[in-house]
Amino acid sequence: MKHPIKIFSLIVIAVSSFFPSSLVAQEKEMPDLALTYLKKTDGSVYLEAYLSLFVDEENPLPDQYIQFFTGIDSLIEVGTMYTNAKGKAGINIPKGYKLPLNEEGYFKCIAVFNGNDSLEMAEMELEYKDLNLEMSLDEVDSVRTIHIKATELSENGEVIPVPEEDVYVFVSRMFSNLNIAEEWLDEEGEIIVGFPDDLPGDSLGVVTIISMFQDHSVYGNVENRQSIEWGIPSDNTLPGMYRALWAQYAPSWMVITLSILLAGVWSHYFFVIFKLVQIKRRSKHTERHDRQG
Amino acid sequence: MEETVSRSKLLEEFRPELEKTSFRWILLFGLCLVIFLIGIYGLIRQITHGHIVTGMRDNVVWGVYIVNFIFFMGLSYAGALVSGALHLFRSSWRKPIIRMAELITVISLVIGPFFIFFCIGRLDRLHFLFTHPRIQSPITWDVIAIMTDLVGCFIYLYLSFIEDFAILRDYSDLKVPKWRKKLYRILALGYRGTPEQEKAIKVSKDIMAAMVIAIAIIVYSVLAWIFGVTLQPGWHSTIFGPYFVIAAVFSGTGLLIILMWIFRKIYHLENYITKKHFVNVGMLLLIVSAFYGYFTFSDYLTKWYGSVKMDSILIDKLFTDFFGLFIYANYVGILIPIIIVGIKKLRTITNITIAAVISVTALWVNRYIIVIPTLETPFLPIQDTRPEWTYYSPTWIEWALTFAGIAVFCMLFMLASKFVPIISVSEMTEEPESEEERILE
Repeated sequence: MKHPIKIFSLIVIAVSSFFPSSLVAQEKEMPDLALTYLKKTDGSVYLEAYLSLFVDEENPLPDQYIQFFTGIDSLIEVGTMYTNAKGKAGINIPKGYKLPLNEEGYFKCIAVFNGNDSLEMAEMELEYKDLNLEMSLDEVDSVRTIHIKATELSENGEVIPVPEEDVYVFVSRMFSNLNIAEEWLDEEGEIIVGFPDDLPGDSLGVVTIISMFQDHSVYGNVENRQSIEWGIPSDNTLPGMYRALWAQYAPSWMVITLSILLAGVWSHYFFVIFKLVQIKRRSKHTERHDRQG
Repeated sequence: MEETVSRSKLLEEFRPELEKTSFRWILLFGLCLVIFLIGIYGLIRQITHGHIVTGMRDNVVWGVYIVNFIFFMGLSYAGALVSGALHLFRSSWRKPIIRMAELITVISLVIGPFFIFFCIGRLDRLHFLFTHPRIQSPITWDVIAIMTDLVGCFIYLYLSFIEDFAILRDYSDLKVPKWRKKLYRILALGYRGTPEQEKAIKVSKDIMAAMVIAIAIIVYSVLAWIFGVTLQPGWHSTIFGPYFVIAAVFSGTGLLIILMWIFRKIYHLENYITKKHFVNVGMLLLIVSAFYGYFTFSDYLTKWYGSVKMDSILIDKLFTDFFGLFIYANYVGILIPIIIVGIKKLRTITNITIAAVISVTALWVNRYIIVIPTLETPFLPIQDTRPEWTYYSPTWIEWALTFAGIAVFCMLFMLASKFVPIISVSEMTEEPESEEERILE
């Protein structure tokens, strides 16, 4: 029996080699799913999932269906969204929504990608405690200060300070946030930070100040942002458009130079044309003189 | 050869060409006409179907048409520079070739701007250049400069023709139709060669020779600045003005040698256009080649050494996608003329003409690799762009119009040589000036 089996195996191998590899079932790829949590100033929570696949380099996966859940014992769907061209999908959980907490006061946020014909399923889970970050902006005797206070709810439901934690202060700029301070909260969960007086703002001097717990292991990302006229007003109007093609008048030096050049050249042309006319006139005069002679 | 020849002998020599039209002439003219008509057919297709029939797309908006425009304008300015300089320096050997240089100037100048018209998508808006000119726009500078140059070159050419028109008017043995005789009479402006008239012509010619040199430099610099004042990689260069001028002289000198060779063969001008003329113009080609090579090296070296991202991408492209063209334009085209003219043993009429052909074609290729690779290297990608929009390849219509331009150049030169002797009779029969006279001037 050994011989027929060997022949059969060889036939199978030979036949299978004729089929293009695309017809053979491919292994599914394993995508990466990242999830970020941000508690905003108004108390709402923004969850953002990022789905990508690493093939030589990180490739975002657009148009993929992402589900967002919360819950402790059972999962509650809080929203769904398709990833955009950058592989990102985000949902906003409004302020009033109560995220279920475990015994230690932690809540869960979960993002799930259920996979498809070519991609495996992927899931990402975060577990944080709720934090209340307050910020007040004061100006006393021309000194501008930022007062930050961080609190949380105890197991008994009491508001207690969050001491000895790292807090950042940023000023929003066009492309990214400018870090102006990084301080530790005191025992009362508070800190006062001075604001520099030389930062440019918009045309009215408005700047947006952001106090933030950034990538905190217990509280995640929590921010409080407020706008105030503490910046130097920026004059964003373009300087006089002397060089613009659409400017009403050309630069005077250009007009003068061009005029001199053209006048110089064309005056010589006219002089030569005058000489040619002279040749013609003199010839007529000579012809007349010859005839009379 | 005598520098001054008998007027009657010279007229006798050119009489058959002015009186009769040979079968060979008609055949050649007909061939040029066919090429021209193919070009016209291509132009009609382009007008009716739009610029989609060309290889120009969103990125490469200037193709072979602009290359031809720069090339023809360069030939024109070179003609002006060479003829103007030869006239002002009173070189005795200039006499048989100066008319060719003058004709190159005007004919190229007439043809060149047409390639701009082929390139413009909205020709119906062309008149805006005149009704709404912006002095701060290099395009307006170019329009003003080209028009000024065209007028100047026509006046200069006409001045050099007046004496010959008068000679042909008075040449009773010349059997040409009456209308031509009448035309010679009108165009001669009653010139009789009186001392006053001679002086007026001489002064006018001197002025216009100086003018055409100055204008040629200014106009071609303006053309170079259209590129130079942009921030495009490869174009934004302070050297572009003088670089373009020297490149123009390079190609124009080459074309002059080619035309000298052609007319010498066709009209049997061996007695007038001798090896001396080829060597002298060849020497000019050698000097200009050296300068042109130096400018080219200087331009690319500074760009390469600076390693600005876009310049580096452009130079990489030149040494990969455009490698063959780059080597031909900037190595073969520069070194071969230097070697051929520089080594005495190689300095024959045929070899110098071969060097000239190489220099002219190399310069056209040089213009191509200045225009196209830069436009294929955009700073920002166009949204949803496709590779076929980025990479340029000329279509048959663009080639048809290119060859039509060359055909028109040949036809106009042939017609001009039928109307007046291709060698200036008045210049050839003019007594050479004494050294004392020259110093006194």
